[in-house]
Amino acid sequence: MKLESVLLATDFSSASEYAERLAMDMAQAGHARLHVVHVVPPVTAPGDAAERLTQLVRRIGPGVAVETAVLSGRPPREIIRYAREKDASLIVLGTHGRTGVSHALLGSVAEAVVRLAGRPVLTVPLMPEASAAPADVAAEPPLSHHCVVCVRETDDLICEPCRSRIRGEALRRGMPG
Amino acid sequence: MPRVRRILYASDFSRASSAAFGRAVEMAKTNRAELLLLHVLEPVAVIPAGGGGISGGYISPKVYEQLESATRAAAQKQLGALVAKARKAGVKASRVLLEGMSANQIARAAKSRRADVIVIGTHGRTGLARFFLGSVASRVVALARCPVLTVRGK
Repeated sequence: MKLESVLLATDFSSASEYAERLAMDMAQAGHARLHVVHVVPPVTAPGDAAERLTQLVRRIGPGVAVETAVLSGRPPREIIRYAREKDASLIVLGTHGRTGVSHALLGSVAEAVVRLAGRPVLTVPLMPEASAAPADVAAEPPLSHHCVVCVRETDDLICEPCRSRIRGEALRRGMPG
Repeated sequence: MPRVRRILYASDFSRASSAAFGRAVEMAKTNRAELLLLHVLEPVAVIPAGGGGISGGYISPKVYEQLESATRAAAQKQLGALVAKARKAGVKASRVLLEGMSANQIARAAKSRRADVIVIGTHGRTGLARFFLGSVASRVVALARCPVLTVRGK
């Protein structure tokens, strides 16, 4: 993939750290222009956002053309608008990796960007290299669902033990099936 | 991207997926990485409409099995074609066929097979369809523990 320019959107949180590193490496390796943006919520003072962007950019090695911008508005929309304006060939952003209820309620900026951007998006979760160490693999939260009855990990809506319990209960009460 | 050794490309064989396939192959080539080509078979959903093998709104287990093995064979064939295409481009490629819910299986496969990045296409649905259906890609983004490159289908 020929990278003309990479757009890195950061919220300065730890979730963005690895995304920051990846975007910088990619821009450097691909001799691409790097855009680094931060979006502040509407009607909010930008605070020290510009200063923090400058600090971030200082960590980038030589040979990369960098442009920074503090945007104001809803993050997904502003990121996409900026990407179009600069015709970024790739958008890079971190994900918080929320799951379950908080995920369903809050959604995520990354997902909205993925769906609406119309151009390649690289989403980067928190510290993926942690999974490189076998010890950490076991510690990671599993991807499966939880049984709706007993909240045990399972691939199904209801786990096998619960299902047989329910079946047994139905049998005891003389219910058909 | 640094240290990309294994790329997991997930496909539903749609047009949206084929744009992502090009990216995955290119990425594998430039990084000299191994490419895993994944398809997930979702449970076969049948809407009985009467007729052959169907009685009383149900289909017989035999018909179901036939349907399932036909889908499986078709998927294997399509994966095989993708593998051939990738190999032609000089990329080390292999196919993976899994069953279950797509997003879960993709995220899981990336983890168990230690993929450094997942490449997946998005359909770019808009309006109500987007709101209600969501997309496999966005669920993969939420579930994956590795970077995910999403490419909008043409």
